[in-house]
Amino acid sequence: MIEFEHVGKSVGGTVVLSEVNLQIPDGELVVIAGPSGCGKTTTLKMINRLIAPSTGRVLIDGEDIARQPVQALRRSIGYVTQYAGLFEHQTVRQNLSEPLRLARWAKPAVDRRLGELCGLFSLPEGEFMDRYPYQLTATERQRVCIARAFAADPEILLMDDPFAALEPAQRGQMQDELVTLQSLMRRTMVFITSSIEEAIRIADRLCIMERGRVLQYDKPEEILRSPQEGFVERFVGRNRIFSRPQEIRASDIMITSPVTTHPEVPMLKGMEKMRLARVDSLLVVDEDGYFLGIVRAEHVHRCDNKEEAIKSVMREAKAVASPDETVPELLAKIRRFRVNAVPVVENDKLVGLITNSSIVTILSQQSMELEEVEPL
Amino acid sequence: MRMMEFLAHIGFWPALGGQLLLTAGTFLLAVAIGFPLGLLAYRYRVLTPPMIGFANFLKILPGFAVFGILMAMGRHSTITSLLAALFFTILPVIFGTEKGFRRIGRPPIDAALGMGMDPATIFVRVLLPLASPQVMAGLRRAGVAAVGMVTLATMRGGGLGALILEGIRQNNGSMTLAGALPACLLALIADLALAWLFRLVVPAPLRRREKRVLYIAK
Repeated sequence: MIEFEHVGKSVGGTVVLSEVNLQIPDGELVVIAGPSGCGKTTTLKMINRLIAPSTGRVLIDGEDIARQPVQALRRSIGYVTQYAGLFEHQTVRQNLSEPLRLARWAKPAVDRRLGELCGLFSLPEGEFMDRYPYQLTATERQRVCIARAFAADPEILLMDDPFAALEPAQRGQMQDELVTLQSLMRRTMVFITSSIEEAIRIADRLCIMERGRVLQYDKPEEILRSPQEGFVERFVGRNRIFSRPQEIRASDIMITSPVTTHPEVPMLKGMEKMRLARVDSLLVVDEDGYFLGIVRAEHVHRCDNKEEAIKSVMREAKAVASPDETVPELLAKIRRFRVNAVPVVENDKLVGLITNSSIVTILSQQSMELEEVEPL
Repeated sequence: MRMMEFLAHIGFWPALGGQLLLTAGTFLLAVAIGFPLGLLAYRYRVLTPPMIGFANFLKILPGFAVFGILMAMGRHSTITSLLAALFFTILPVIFGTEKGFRRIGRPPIDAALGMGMDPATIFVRVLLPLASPQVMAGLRRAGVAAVGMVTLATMRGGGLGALILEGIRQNNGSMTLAGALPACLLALIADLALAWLFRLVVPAPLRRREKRVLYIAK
Protein backbone atom coordinates (compact mmCIF):
# COMPACT_ATOMS: atom_id res chain seq x y z
CA MET A 1 0.00 0.00 0.00
CA ILE A 2 1.28 3.41 -1.01
CA GLU A 3 -0.13 6.34 0.95
CA PHE A 4 0.10 10.08 0.39
CA GLU A 5 -0.60 12.04 3.57
CA HIS A 6 -1.32 15.74 3.15
CA VAL A 7 1.39 15.99 0.52
CA GLY A 8 2.17 19.42 -0.88
CA LYS A 9 4.91 20.76 -3.09
CA SER A 10 5.88 24.26 -4.01
CA VAL A 11 8.78 25.34 -6.14
CA GLY A 12 9.94 28.93 -5.86
CA GLY A 13 6.59 30.20 -4.58
CA THR A 14 4.53 28.29 -7.17
CA VAL A 15 2.27 25.64 -5.71
CA VAL A 16 2.68 22.44 -7.72
CA LEU A 17 0.75 20.10 -5.43
CA SER A 18 -1.53 20.81 -2.53
CA GLU A 19 -3.15 18.54 0.02
CA VAL A 20 -2.74 15.30 -1.93
CA ASN A 21 -4.18 12.36 -0.01
CA LEU A 22 -4.16 9.02 -1.80
CA GLN A 23 -4.23 5.37 -0.85
CA ILE A 24 -2.96 3.04 -3.54
CA PRO A 25 -3.85 -0.54 -2.58
CA ASP A 26 -1.53 -3.49 -3.29
CA GLY A 27 -1.96 -5.21 -6.61
CA GLU A 28 -4.06 -2.49 -8.23
CA LEU A 29 -3.39 -0.55 -11.38
CA VAL A 30 -4.03 3.05 -10.42
CA VAL A 31 -4.10 5.62 -13.20
CA ILE A 32 -3.50 9.27 -12.46
CA ALA A 33 -4.96 11.32 -15.29
CA GLY A 34 -5.12 15.01 -15.93
CA PRO A 35 -4.00 17.74 -18.31
CA SER A 36 -0.31 18.57 -18.59
CA GLY A 37 0.94 20.58 -15.65
CA CYS A 38 -1.63 19.16 -13.24
CA GLY A 39 1.08 17.68 -11.00
CA LYS A 40 0.64 14.02 -11.95
CA THR A 41 4.30 13.43 -12.83
CA THR A 42 5.39 15.21 -9.64
CA THR A 43 3.10 12.94 -7.65
CA LEU A 44 4.57 9.87 -9.34
CA LYS A 45 8.17 10.94 -8.83
CA MET A 46 7.53 11.35 -5.10
CA ILE A 47 7.01 7.60 -4.80
CA ASN A 48 10.60 6.82 -5.80
CA ARG A 49 11.90 10.03 -4.23
CA LEU A 50 13.03 11.68 -7.46
CA ILE A 51 11.11 14.62 -5.99
CA ALA A 52 10.72 15.28 -2.28
CA PRO A 53 7.45 16.68 -0.90
CA SER A 54 7.58 20.14 0.68
CA THR A 55 4.96 19.12 3.21
CA GLY A 56 3.32 15.86 4.23
CA ARG A 57 4.64 12.32 3.85
CA VAL A 58 4.60 9.39 1.48
CA LEU A 59 4.39 5.95 3.08
CA ILE A 60 4.92 2.50 1.64
CA ASP A 61 3.49 -0.31 3.77
CA GLY A 62 3.12 2.16 6.61
CA GLU A 63 6.72 3.34 6.57
CA ASP A 64 7.78 6.87 5.72
CA ILE A 65 9.93 6.53 2.61
CA ALA A 66 11.91 9.65 3.49
CA ARG A 67 13.52 7.61 6.26
CA GLN A 68 14.55 4.74 4.04
CA PRO A 69 17.88 4.47 2.21
CA VAL A 70 17.08 6.09 -1.11
CA GLN A 71 18.89 3.70 -3.47
CA ALA A 72 17.52 0.59 -1.83
CA LEU A 73 14.02 2.10 -2.05
CA ARG A 74 14.44 2.83 -5.75
CA ARG A 75 15.77 -0.63 -6.49
CA SER A 76 12.56 -2.07 -5.08
CA ILE A 77 10.43 0.03 -7.45
CA GLY A 78 10.26 -0.36 -11.24
CA TYR A 79 10.18 2.90 -13.15
CA VAL A 80 9.30 3.71 -16.76
CA THR A 81 10.20 7.29 -17.62
CA GLN A 82 8.44 9.60 -19.99
CA TYR A 83 9.87 9.61 -23.54
CA ALA A 84 12.95 7.56 -24.22
CA GLY A 85 14.40 6.31 -20.97
CA LEU A 86 16.49 3.59 -22.57
CA PHE A 87 20.25 3.90 -22.48
CA GLU A 88 21.09 4.59 -26.11
CA HIS A 89 24.68 3.38 -25.77
CA GLN A 90 23.68 -0.03 -24.48
CA THR A 91 22.16 -3.02 -26.26
CA VAL A 92 18.74 -4.38 -25.34
CA ARG A 93 20.47 -7.06 -23.27
CA GLN A 94 22.58 -4.53 -21.38
CA ASN A 95 19.58 -2.28 -20.80
CA LEU A 96 17.54 -5.15 -19.39
CA SER A 97 20.44 -6.40 -17.24
CA GLU A 98 21.16 -3.02 -15.67
CA PRO A 99 18.67 -3.32 -12.73
CA LEU A 100 19.85 -6.90 -12.13
CA ARG A 101 23.46 -5.78 -12.10
CA LEU A 102 22.55 -3.22 -9.44
CA ALA A 103 20.88 -5.95 -7.40
CA ARG A 104 24.08 -8.02 -7.82
CA TRP A 105 22.48 -11.00 -9.50
CA ALA A 106 24.81 -13.78 -10.64
CA LYS A 107 25.32 -14.27 -14.37
CA PRO A 108 23.29 -17.50 -14.76
CA ALA A 109 20.38 -15.96 -12.83
CA VAL A 110 20.54 -12.87 -15.05
CA ASP A 111 20.45 -14.98 -18.22
CA ARG A 112 17.51 -16.97 -16.92
CA ARG A 113 15.66 -13.79 -15.99
CA LEU A 114 16.30 -12.22 -19.41
CA GLY A 115 14.72 -15.27 -21.03
CA GLU A 116 11.66 -14.92 -18.79
CA LEU A 117 11.36 -11.23 -19.60
CA CYS A 118 11.48 -11.93 -23.33
CA GLY A 119 8.62 -14.36 -22.92
CA LEU A 120 6.55 -12.00 -20.79
CA PHE A 121 6.94 -9.01 -23.07
CA SER A 122 6.88 -10.84 -26.41
CA LEU A 123 10.43 -9.82 -27.25
CA PRO A 124 12.28 -12.06 -29.70
CA GLU A 125 15.39 -13.59 -28.12
CA GLY A 126 18.68 -14.05 -29.95
CA GLU A 127 19.88 -11.34 -32.32
CA PHE A 128 17.25 -8.88 -31.05
CA MET A 129 18.99 -8.75 -27.66
CA ASP A 130 22.14 -7.35 -29.29
CA ARG A 131 20.36 -4.50 -31.04
CA TYR A 132 20.69 -0.92 -29.90
CA PRO A 133 17.63 1.21 -29.04
CA TYR A 134 17.89 3.24 -32.27
CA GLN A 135 17.37 0.01 -34.22
CA LEU A 136 14.02 -0.70 -32.53
CA THR A 137 10.52 0.35 -33.53
CA ALA A 138 8.57 2.62 -31.18
CA THR A 139 6.58 -0.31 -29.77
CA GLU A 140 9.68 -2.44 -29.27
CA ARG A 141 11.35 0.41 -27.40
CA GLN A 142 8.36 0.71 -25.08
CA ARG A 143 8.29 -3.04 -24.51
CA VAL A 144 11.97 -3.02 -23.59
CA CYS A 145 11.44 0.00 -21.29
CA ILE A 146 8.64 -1.78 -19.44
CA ALA A 147 10.53 -5.07 -19.40
CA ARG A 148 13.48 -3.26 -17.83
CA ALA A 149 11.23 -1.83 -15.12
CA PHE A 150 9.99 -5.37 -14.41
CA ALA A 151 13.48 -6.90 -14.56
CA ALA A 152 14.26 -7.15 -10.86
CA ASP A 153 10.66 -8.24 -10.20
CA PRO A 154 9.63 -5.23 -8.09
CA GLU A 155 6.36 -5.12 -6.17
CA ILE A 156 5.67 -1.55 -7.25
CA LEU A 157 5.83 -0.13 -10.78
CA LEU A 158 5.67 3.50 -11.77
CA MET A 159 4.88 4.37 -15.38
CA ASP A 160 5.03 7.93 -16.62
CA ASP A 161 2.89 8.15 -19.76
CA PRO A 162 4.78 5.29 -21.41
CA PHE A 163 2.59 5.04 -24.51
CA ALA A 164 2.42 8.75 -25.34
CA ALA A 165 4.77 8.43 -28.30
CA LEU A 166 2.92 5.55 -29.96
CA GLU A 167 0.49 5.58 -32.89
CA PRO A 168 -3.15 5.04 -31.82
CA ALA A 169 -3.31 1.44 -33.10
CA GLN A 170 -0.06 0.40 -31.37
CA ARG A 171 -1.10 2.29 -28.31
CA GLY A 172 -4.31 0.27 -28.03
CA GLN A 173 -2.34 -2.93 -28.43
CA MET A 174 0.14 -1.98 -25.70
CA GLN A 175 -2.72 -1.04 -23.38
CA ASP A 176 -4.30 -4.46 -23.90
CA GLU A 177 -0.95 -6.14 -23.25
CA LEU A 178 -0.47 -4.17 -20.07
CA VAL A 179 -3.91 -5.17 -18.79
CA THR A 180 -3.20 -8.82 -19.59
CA LEU A 181 0.18 -8.58 -17.89
CA GLN A 182 -1.36 -6.98 -14.82
CA SER A 183 -3.98 -9.72 -14.57
CA LEU A 184 -1.10 -12.24 -14.49
CA MET A 185 1.28 -10.38 -12.21
CA ARG A 186 -0.98 -8.36 -9.89
CA ARG A 187 1.65 -5.75 -9.07
CA THR A 188 0.96 -2.34 -7.61
CA MET A 189 1.13 -0.03 -10.59
CA VAL A 190 0.85 3.72 -10.80
CA PHE A 191 0.31 4.84 -14.37
CA ILE A 192 0.29 8.44 -15.57
CA THR A 193 -1.58 9.55 -18.67
CA SER A 194 -3.20 12.62 -20.13
CA SER A 195 -5.61 10.53 -22.19
CA ILE A 196 -8.89 9.75 -20.47
CA GLU A 197 -9.61 6.97 -23.00
CA GLU A 198 -6.37 5.26 -22.03
CA ALA A 199 -7.10 5.77 -18.33
CA ILE A 200 -10.55 4.18 -18.54
CA ARG A 201 -9.28 1.33 -20.65
CA ILE A 202 -6.63 0.15 -18.19
CA ALA A 203 -7.43 1.51 -14.72
CA ASP A 204 -8.56 -0.51 -11.71
CA ARG A 205 -8.83 2.82 -9.96
CA LEU A 206 -8.71 6.27 -11.45
CA CYS A 207 -7.44 9.52 -9.99
CA ILE A 208 -8.27 12.75 -11.78
CA MET A 209 -5.97 15.67 -11.02
CA GLU A 210 -6.06 19.29 -11.98
CA ARG A 211 -3.85 22.19 -10.89
CA GLY A 212 -2.04 20.21 -8.22
CA ARG A 213 -5.17 18.83 -6.60
CA VAL A 214 -6.85 15.46 -6.60
CA LEU A 215 -10.40 16.12 -7.78
CA GLN A 216 -11.82 12.61 -7.82
CA TYR A 217 -10.38 9.21 -6.92
CA ASP A 218 -12.53 6.18 -7.48
CA LYS A 219 -13.21 3.18 -9.70
CA PRO A 220 -13.43 4.33 -13.33
CA GLU A 221 -17.04 3.21 -13.65
CA GLU A 222 -17.95 5.29 -10.57
CA ILE A 223 -16.27 8.33 -12.07
CA LEU A 224 -18.03 7.77 -15.37
CA ARG A 225 -21.37 7.32 -13.64
CA SER A 226 -21.13 10.31 -11.37
CA PRO A 227 -18.30 12.60 -12.38
CA GLN A 228 -17.74 15.54 -10.10
CA GLU A 229 -19.30 18.68 -11.47
CA GLY A 230 -17.03 20.99 -13.40
CA PHE A 231 -13.60 19.89 -14.52
CA VAL A 232 -14.00 16.12 -14.12
CA GLU A 233 -17.28 16.19 -15.99
CA ARG A 234 -15.70 18.00 -18.91
CA PHE A 235 -12.57 15.84 -18.78
CA VAL A 236 -14.38 12.51 -18.96
CA GLY A 237 -16.72 13.97 -21.56
CA ARG A 238 -20.15 13.16 -20.19
CA ASN A 239 -23.05 12.73 -22.63
CA ARG A 240 -20.86 13.23 -25.61
CA ILE A 241 -22.84 10.96 -27.96
CA PHE A 242 -25.64 8.99 -26.38
CA SER A 243 -27.20 9.24 -23.01
CA ARG A 244 -27.76 5.52 -22.35
CA PRO A 245 -25.71 2.60 -23.70
CA GLN A 246 -28.83 0.44 -23.69
CA GLU A 247 -30.06 2.61 -26.52
CA ILE A 248 -26.95 2.21 -28.63
CA ARG A 249 -27.30 -0.60 -31.17
CA ALA A 250 -24.62 -2.52 -32.97
CA SER A 251 -25.70 -0.87 -36.22
CA ASP A 252 -24.91 2.55 -34.69
CA ILE A 253 -21.29 1.83 -33.93
CA MET A 254 -20.23 -0.99 -36.27
CA ILE A 255 -17.65 -0.69 -39.00
CA THR A 256 -19.79 -0.98 -42.14
CA SER A 257 -17.06 -2.03 -44.54
CA PRO A 258 -14.84 -4.55 -42.72
CA VAL A 259 -12.00 -6.24 -44.62
CA THR A 260 -13.43 -9.32 -46.31
CA THR A 261 -12.27 -12.06 -48.66
CA HIS A 262 -13.81 -14.65 -50.99
CA PRO A 263 -13.36 -18.29 -49.85
CA GLU A 264 -11.64 -19.38 -53.08
CA VAL A 265 -8.94 -16.70 -52.94
CA PRO A 266 -5.40 -18.18 -52.52
CA MET A 267 -3.82 -17.64 -49.11
CA LEU A 268 -1.00 -15.52 -50.53
CA LYS A 269 -3.49 -12.95 -51.78
CA GLY A 270 -5.29 -13.04 -48.45
CA MET A 271 -2.06 -12.35 -46.56
CA GLU A 272 -1.30 -9.46 -48.85
CA LYS A 273 -4.74 -8.05 -48.18
CA MET A 274 -4.24 -8.26 -44.39
CA ARG A 275 -0.89 -6.60 -44.71
CA LEU A 276 -2.23 -3.72 -46.78
CA ALA A 277 -5.27 -3.20 -44.54
CA ARG A 278 -3.17 -3.70 -41.37
CA VAL A 279 -5.54 -6.25 -39.88
CA ASP A 280 -4.83 -9.69 -38.43
CA SER A 281 -7.92 -11.44 -39.73
CA LEU A 282 -10.31 -11.45 -42.68
CA LEU A 283 -14.03 -12.08 -42.75
CA VAL A 284 -14.91 -14.67 -45.38
CA VAL A 285 -17.95 -13.79 -47.48
CA ASP A 286 -19.24 -15.53 -50.62
CA GLU A 287 -20.28 -13.76 -53.82
CA ASP A 288 -23.83 -13.18 -52.53
CA GLY A 289 -22.64 -11.55 -49.30
CA TYR A 290 -23.32 -14.58 -47.05
CA PHE A 291 -21.02 -14.71 -44.04
CA LEU A 292 -19.01 -17.97 -43.91
CA GLY A 293 -16.34 -17.53 -41.24
CA ILE A 294 -13.07 -15.96 -40.18
CA VAL A 295 -9.50 -16.43 -41.39
CA ARG A 296 -6.76 -15.44 -38.95
CA ALA A 297 -3.23 -14.50 -39.98
CA GLU A 298 -1.67 -17.05 -37.59
CA HIS A 299 -3.60 -19.90 -39.21
CA VAL A 300 -2.52 -18.83 -42.66
CA HIS A 301 1.09 -18.63 -41.46
CA ARG A 302 0.92 -22.12 -40.03
CA CYS A 303 -0.24 -23.59 -43.35
CA ASP A 304 2.55 -24.86 -45.62
CA ASN A 305 0.94 -24.53 -49.03
CA LYS A 306 0.07 -20.87 -49.51
CA GLU A 307 -1.33 -21.59 -52.99
CA GLU A 308 -4.33 -23.32 -51.45
CA ALA A 309 -7.70 -21.58 -51.22
CA ILE A 310 -8.13 -19.53 -48.09
CA LYS A 311 -11.26 -21.44 -47.08
CA SER A 312 -9.07 -24.38 -46.03
CA VAL A 313 -7.94 -22.47 -42.92
CA MET A 314 -11.26 -20.73 -42.30
CA ARG A 315 -12.83 -21.09 -38.83
CA GLU A 316 -16.37 -20.54 -37.73
CA ALA A 317 -16.84 -17.25 -35.86
CA LYS A 318 -17.03 -17.81 -32.09
CA ALA A 319 -19.65 -15.13 -31.74
CA VAL A 320 -21.83 -13.13 -34.09
CA ALA A 321 -24.24 -10.33 -33.35
CA SER A 322 -27.38 -8.98 -34.97
CA PRO A 323 -27.58 -5.27 -35.88
CA ASP A 324 -30.07 -4.45 -33.14
CA GLU A 325 -28.08 -5.88 -30.23
CA THR A 326 -27.24 -3.24 -27.61
CA VAL A 327 -23.84 -2.27 -26.25
CA PRO A 328 -24.23 -4.16 -22.93
CA GLU A 329 -25.17 -7.31 -24.88
CA LEU A 330 -22.22 -6.89 -27.23
CA LEU A 331 -19.87 -6.32 -24.33
CA ALA A 332 -21.13 -9.43 -22.61
CA LYS A 333 -20.48 -11.41 -25.78
CA ILE A 334 -16.97 -10.08 -26.16
CA ARG A 335 -16.19 -11.06 -22.59
CA ARG A 336 -17.87 -14.45 -22.66
CA PHE A 337 -16.19 -15.59 -25.88
CA ARG A 338 -12.90 -13.77 -25.23
CA VAL A 339 -12.78 -12.24 -28.68
CA ASN A 340 -11.79 -8.74 -29.69
CA ALA A 341 -14.18 -8.40 -32.61
CA VAL A 342 -17.71 -9.59 -33.37
CA PRO A 343 -19.08 -9.79 -36.94
CA VAL A 344 -22.57 -8.33 -37.33
CA VAL A 345 -24.83 -10.57 -39.39
CA GLU A 346 -28.37 -10.04 -40.67
CA ASN A 347 -30.26 -12.88 -42.47
CA ASP A 348 -26.92 -14.74 -42.71
CA LYS A 349 -25.37 -11.84 -44.60
CA LEU A 350 -22.42 -9.84 -43.23
CA VAL A 351 -23.38 -6.22 -42.56
CA GLY A 352 -20.57 -4.98 -40.33
CA LEU A 353 -18.01 -5.57 -37.57
CA ILE A 354 -17.90 -4.50 -33.93
CA THR A 355 -14.43 -4.22 -32.40
CA ASN A 356 -13.54 -4.11 -28.75
CA SER A 357 -11.94 -0.72 -29.13
CA SER A 358 -14.97 0.83 -30.79
CA ILE A 359 -17.01 -0.18 -27.75
CA VAL A 360 -14.41 1.08 -25.32
CA THR A 361 -14.43 4.43 -27.08
CA ILE A 362 -18.19 4.60 -26.76
CA LEU A 363 -18.05 3.61 -23.09
CA SER A 364 -15.49 6.23 -22.28
CA GLN A 365 -17.86 8.81 -23.64
CA GLN A 366 -20.66 7.57 -21.43
CA SER A 367 -21.86 7.87 -17.98
CA MET A 368 -23.29 4.42 -17.73
CA GLU A 369 -24.30 1.69 -15.37
CA LEU A 370 -21.38 -0.62 -16.00
CA GLU A 371 -22.56 -3.06 -13.36
CA GLU A 372 -25.50 -4.03 -15.51
CA VAL A 373 -23.03 -5.11 -18.14
CA GLU A 374 -20.66 -7.01 -15.93
CA PRO A 375 -21.56 -10.69 -15.90
CA LEU A 376 -18.22 -11.76 -14.41
CA MET B 1 73.33 15.04 -45.82
CA ARG B 2 73.24 18.70 -46.73
CA MET B 3 69.67 18.75 -45.59
CA MET B 4 70.57 17.31 -42.21
CA GLU B 5 73.31 19.84 -41.81
CA PHE B 6 70.93 22.59 -42.82
CA LEU B 7 68.35 21.43 -40.29
CA ALA B 8 70.97 21.22 -37.56
CA HIS B 9 72.23 24.65 -38.54
CA ILE B 10 68.88 26.37 -38.19
CA GLY B 11 68.16 24.55 -34.92
CA PHE B 12 65.37 22.43 -36.30
CA TRP B 13 65.64 19.48 -33.90
CA PRO B 14 65.37 21.42 -30.64
CA ALA B 15 62.56 23.43 -32.22
CA LEU B 16 60.66 20.26 -33.19
CA GLY B 17 61.28 18.73 -29.75
CA GLY B 18 60.05 21.88 -28.06
CA GLN B 19 57.03 21.99 -30.33
CA LEU B 20 56.06 18.38 -29.57
CA LEU B 21 56.52 18.81 -25.83
CA LEU B 22 54.66 22.10 -25.68
CA THR B 23 51.82 20.86 -27.91
CA ALA B 24 51.33 17.73 -25.84
CA GLY B 25 51.59 19.73 -22.62
CA THR B 26 49.14 22.38 -23.79
CA PHE B 27 46.67 19.77 -25.00
CA LEU B 28 46.77 17.70 -21.81
CA LEU B 29 46.53 20.75 -19.60
CA ALA B 30 43.63 22.06 -21.70
CA VAL B 31 41.77 18.76 -21.22
CA ALA B 32 42.59 18.65 -17.52
CA ILE B 33 41.23 22.16 -17.01
CA GLY B 34 38.59 22.34 -19.75
CA PHE B 35 36.73 19.11 -18.92
CA PRO B 36 35.96 20.07 -15.31
CA LEU B 37 35.05 23.59 -16.44
CA GLY B 38 32.68 22.15 -19.03
CA LEU B 39 31.14 19.94 -16.34
CA LEU B 40 30.78 22.97 -14.09
CA ALA B 41 29.05 24.90 -16.87
CA TYR B 42 26.70 21.94 -17.34
CA ARG B 43 26.04 21.33 -13.66
CA TYR B 44 25.40 24.93 -12.63
CA ARG B 45 23.18 26.51 -15.19
CA VAL B 46 23.93 30.00 -13.82
CA LEU B 47 27.52 29.58 -14.90
CA THR B 48 26.66 28.52 -18.41
CA PRO B 49 25.84 31.90 -20.06
CA PRO B 50 28.90 33.84 -18.75
CA MET B 51 31.27 30.98 -19.32
CA ILE B 52 30.06 30.03 -22.78
CA GLY B 53 29.67 33.73 -23.60
CA PHE B 54 33.27 34.45 -22.66
CA ALA B 55 34.46 31.40 -24.55
CA ASN B 56 32.46 32.51 -27.56
CA PHE B 57 34.01 35.98 -27.32
CA LEU B 58 37.51 34.49 -27.33
CA LYS B 59 36.56 32.28 -30.25
CA ILE B 60 35.74 35.35 -32.33
CA LEU B 61 39.21 36.86 -31.87
CA PRO B 62 41.71 35.82 -34.56
CA GLY B 63 44.51 33.93 -32.85
CA PHE B 64 47.26 35.50 -34.91
CA ALA B 65 46.06 39.01 -34.01
CA VAL B 66 46.01 38.21 -30.30
CA PHE B 67 49.61 37.07 -30.42
CA GLY B 68 50.41 40.19 -32.41
CA ILE B 69 48.91 42.33 -29.66
CA LEU B 70 50.84 40.44 -26.98
CA MET B 71 54.00 40.95 -28.98
CA ALA B 72 53.37 44.65 -29.53
CA MET B 73 52.72 45.07 -25.80
CA GLY B 74 56.19 43.63 -25.30
CA ARG B 75 54.76 40.78 -23.30
CA HIS B 76 55.42 38.05 -25.76
CA SER B 77 57.40 36.06 -23.32
CA THR B 78 57.14 32.33 -23.74
CA ILE B 79 55.06 31.99 -20.58
CA THR B 80 52.37 34.54 -21.46
CA SER B 81 52.08 33.31 -25.02
CA LEU B 82 51.80 29.71 -23.87
CA LEU B 83 49.06 30.81 -21.49
CA ALA B 84 47.29 32.42 -24.44
CA ALA B 85 47.72 29.21 -26.45
CA LEU B 86 46.29 27.25 -23.53
CA PHE B 87 43.27 29.55 -23.43
CA PHE B 88 42.49 28.99 -27.08
CA THR B 89 42.94 25.24 -26.71
CA ILE B 90 40.66 25.00 -23.68
CA LEU B 91 37.69 26.51 -25.54
CA PRO B 92 36.72 23.53 -27.70
CA VAL B 93 37.11 21.25 -24.68
CA ILE B 94 34.69 23.34 -22.62
CA PHE B 95 32.26 23.65 -25.52
CA GLY B 96 32.32 19.95 -26.32
CA THR B 97 31.95 18.86 -22.71
CA GLU B 98 29.10 21.24 -21.95
CA LYS B 99 27.27 20.35 -25.14
CA GLY B 100 27.80 16.61 -24.71
CA PHE B 101 26.36 16.52 -21.21
CA ARG B 102 23.63 19.05 -21.92
CA ARG B 103 22.08 17.08 -24.73
CA ILE B 104 21.62 13.93 -22.64
CA GLY B 105 18.41 15.34 -21.17
CA ARG B 106 16.33 14.11 -18.25
CA PRO B 107 14.97 10.69 -19.28
CA PRO B 108 18.15 8.55 -19.08
CA ILE B 109 19.17 10.30 -15.87
CA ASP B 110 15.74 9.75 -14.32
CA ALA B 111 15.81 6.14 -15.47
CA ALA B 112 19.24 5.62 -13.90
CA LEU B 113 18.25 7.35 -10.64
CA GLY B 114 14.97 5.46 -10.58
CA MET B 115 16.82 2.15 -10.84
CA GLY B 116 18.73 3.09 -7.73
CA MET B 117 22.14 3.82 -9.26
CA ASP B 118 24.41 5.97 -7.11
CA PRO B 119 25.70 9.25 -8.59
CA ALA B 120 29.23 7.99 -9.32
CA THR B 121 27.90 4.97 -11.21
CA ILE B 122 25.50 7.16 -13.15
CA PHE B 123 28.38 9.40 -14.16
CA VAL B 124 30.60 6.56 -15.33
CA ARG B 125 28.04 4.16 -16.82
CA VAL B 126 25.46 6.55 -18.24
CA LEU B 127 26.52 10.18 -18.51
CA LEU B 128 30.10 9.76 -19.68
CA PRO B 129 29.33 7.32 -22.53
CA LEU B 130 26.32 9.36 -23.65
CA ALA B 131 28.31 12.60 -23.66
CA SER B 132 31.38 11.04 -25.24
CA PRO B 133 30.68 11.92 -28.92
CA GLN B 134 30.65 15.67 -28.29
CA VAL B 135 33.40 15.52 -25.67
CA MET B 136 35.66 13.61 -28.04
CA ALA B 137 34.81 15.92 -30.94
CA GLY B 138 35.84 18.81 -28.69
CA LEU B 139 39.12 17.09 -27.86
CA ARG B 140 39.78 16.59 -31.55
CA ARG B 141 39.31 20.26 -32.28
CA ALA B 142 41.47 21.11 -29.25
CA GLY B 143 44.27 18.84 -30.50
CA VAL B 144 44.41 20.61 -33.83
CA ALA B 145 44.11 24.01 -32.13
CA ALA B 146 47.00 23.11 -29.80
CA VAL B 147 49.35 22.53 -32.74
CA GLY B 148 48.38 25.84 -34.35
CA MET B 149 48.44 27.88 -31.18
CA VAL B 150 51.77 26.49 -29.97
CA THR B 151 53.22 27.34 -33.38
CA LEU B 152 52.05 30.93 -32.91
CA ALA B 153 53.14 31.03 -29.29
CA THR B 154 56.70 29.96 -30.09
CA MET B 155 57.42 32.74 -32.59
CA ARG B 156 59.99 34.08 -30.12
CA GLY B 157 61.61 30.67 -29.74
CA GLY B 158 61.02 27.25 -28.27
CA GLY B 159 59.14 25.70 -31.18
CA LEU B 160 58.49 25.60 -34.91
CA GLY B 161 56.96 29.10 -34.86
CA ALA B 162 60.40 30.60 -34.37
CA LEU B 163 61.68 28.93 -37.57
CA ILE B 164 58.74 30.27 -39.57
CA LEU B 165 59.07 33.83 -38.28
CA GLU B 166 62.87 33.83 -38.59
CA GLY B 167 62.59 32.39 -42.15
CA ILE B 168 60.19 35.14 -43.14
CA ARG B 169 62.39 37.79 -41.57
CA GLN B 170 65.53 36.56 -43.36
CA ASN B 171 63.60 35.91 -46.56
CA ASN B 172 64.81 32.32 -46.26
CA GLY B 173 62.15 30.10 -47.86
CA SER B 174 63.77 26.81 -46.87
CA MET B 175 63.85 27.86 -43.25
CA THR B 176 60.18 28.92 -43.32
CA LEU B 177 59.23 25.61 -44.87
CA ALA B 178 61.30 23.70 -42.30
CA GLY B 179 59.01 25.23 -39.69
CA ALA B 180 55.73 25.29 -41.59
CA LEU B 181 55.66 21.81 -43.16
CA PRO B 182 56.25 19.86 -39.92
CA ALA B 183 53.67 22.07 -38.20
CA CYS B 184 51.08 21.14 -40.84
CA LEU B 185 52.04 17.47 -40.64
CA LEU B 186 51.76 17.57 -36.88
CA ALA B 187 48.24 19.03 -37.14
CA LEU B 188 47.23 16.22 -39.49
CA ILE B 189 48.72 13.57 -37.23
CA ALA B 190 47.00 15.06 -34.18
CA ASP B 191 43.67 15.06 -36.03
CA LEU B 192 44.04 11.46 -37.19
CA ALA B 193 45.19 10.22 -33.80
CA LEU B 194 42.23 11.86 -32.07
CA ALA B 195 39.84 10.57 -34.73
CA TRP B 196 41.14 7.10 -33.93
CA LEU B 197 40.68 7.75 -30.20
CA PHE B 198 37.12 8.88 -30.97
CA ARG B 199 36.33 5.52 -32.56
CA LEU B 200 37.92 3.75 -29.64
CA VAL B 201 36.12 5.63 -26.87
CA VAL B 202 32.65 6.41 -28.24
CA PRO B 203 30.14 3.51 -28.14
CA ALA B 204 29.12 2.28 -31.60
CA PRO B 205 25.47 3.48 -31.69
CA LEU B 206 26.53 7.01 -30.71
CA ARG B 207 29.35 7.18 -33.27
CA ARG B 208 26.78 6.72 -35.96
CA ARG B 209 24.73 9.67 -34.78
CA GLU B 210 27.75 11.90 -34.22
CA LYS B 211 28.76 11.47 -37.84
CA ARG B 212 25.40 12.81 -38.94
CA VAL B 213 25.57 15.74 -36.54
CA LEU B 214 29.03 16.72 -37.73
CA TYR B 215 27.93 16.43 -41.31
CA ILE B 216 25.02 18.80 -40.77
CA ALA B 217 27.22 21.17 -38.79
CA LYS B 218 29.60 21.43 -41.71
